[in-house]
Amino acid sequence: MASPPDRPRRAHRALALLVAGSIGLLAACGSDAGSDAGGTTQAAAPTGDFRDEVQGLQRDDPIEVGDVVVPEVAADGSTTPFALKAEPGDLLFVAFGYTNCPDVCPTTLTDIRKAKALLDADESARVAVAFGTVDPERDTADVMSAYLGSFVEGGHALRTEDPAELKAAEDALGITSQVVKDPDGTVEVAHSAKSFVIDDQGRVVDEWAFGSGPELMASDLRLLLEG
Amino acid sequence: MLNPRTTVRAGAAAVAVGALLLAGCGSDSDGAAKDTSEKTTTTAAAEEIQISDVWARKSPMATTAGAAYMKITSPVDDALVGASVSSDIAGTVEIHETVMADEGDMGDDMSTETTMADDMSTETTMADDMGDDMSTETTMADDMGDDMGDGAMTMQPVDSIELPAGEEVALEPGGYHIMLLDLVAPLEVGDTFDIVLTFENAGEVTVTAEVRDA
Repeated sequence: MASPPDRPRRAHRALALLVAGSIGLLAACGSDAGSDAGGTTQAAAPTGDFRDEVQGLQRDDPIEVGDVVVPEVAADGSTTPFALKAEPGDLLFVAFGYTNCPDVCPTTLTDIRKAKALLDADESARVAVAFGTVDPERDTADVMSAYLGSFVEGGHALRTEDPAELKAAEDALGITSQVVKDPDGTVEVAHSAKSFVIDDQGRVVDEWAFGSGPELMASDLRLLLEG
Repeated sequence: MLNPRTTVRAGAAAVAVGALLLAGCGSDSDGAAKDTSEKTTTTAAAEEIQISDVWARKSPMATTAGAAYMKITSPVDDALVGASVSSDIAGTVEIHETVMADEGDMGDDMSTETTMADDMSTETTMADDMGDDMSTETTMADDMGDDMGDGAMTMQPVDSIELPAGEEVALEPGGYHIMLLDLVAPLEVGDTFDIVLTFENAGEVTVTAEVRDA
């Protein structure tokens, strides 16, 4: 792979933590009075933090995933073929996970939702969101639809019951997943926590590590939309 | 002064002082917590276990799993060894850590033919706990910034979270969290619920988590 460009990620992260820490005292504990302020942000400043350089990973030779098609499911179980490609002039955010994921997946989906909120409305409208399940057995169509819908409106819930089809999509993006059922009945899921931005040519134009946060995402999205 | 019971109660007071607008924080039992919270000494905060920024993410529709986060600073070496919530909130509570699934094999080389699924099936077929294979990995929170490899992550239960004296230990997305399983009802923004934390030295401390859309 292309070597990632050096990015000021650590500094950004440190700043975010600092901000989080400094508001921590005020937001701590469930005071009724403070619920509004505490509920809107954790580390996020509502005004955003827009930079003039993309901070996610951009490859010299972008991955092409436009030929990858995964079924998009609706709540009623109907499916539509969904190509990993944005509408003309738009961008497509894609991440894979599973709905019983309490930590990573909701963090990422909350990040992109907040990132879109940091953008102007016309910019946000040009960023579609797709979330694919790596655990289709438990993540049925209605579950996926409701889950994604609780983060973003009009998101694309991707689900295939064909392991080969899932793997093809994952391979194209360079990600992996593994679902292991333990003898005691618990299900352990491992999956890549990265997220991707894909353009209207099906090229991956930006990749975000887990925890990149809404400010970074919004800043990148604005630059990519301008580009 | 520092018999275990005193420590616990004073700890609740420290949280109260630190949180400023205490309402609903610390123990909800109106006896001990309120008495101790009136000890508005600032020295207590430096000596007793401090727990702040206790929150849980709003649970999405259609799921019964949630996670709670907080920051803990203990004045002495201690460990978080247990957590529980009312059965009105969740059926099971576990301390979890999100870790890189297999850092060594999942490195930066995306052209490798070896998929994680292949690796892990061979590694885990004889192990009943996937976590065993991953226990040496670092948390994503520690090294996520510079690692743009595959980034596969998973969760594993942990027996305890070490709390070195004077160090703030964060339970935060992508690292340690209190996992709530079998949520009885969705966690809605603005809701609060108590979590009873059990520390090796400090004993039990009740904190109140606020549900946030974060």
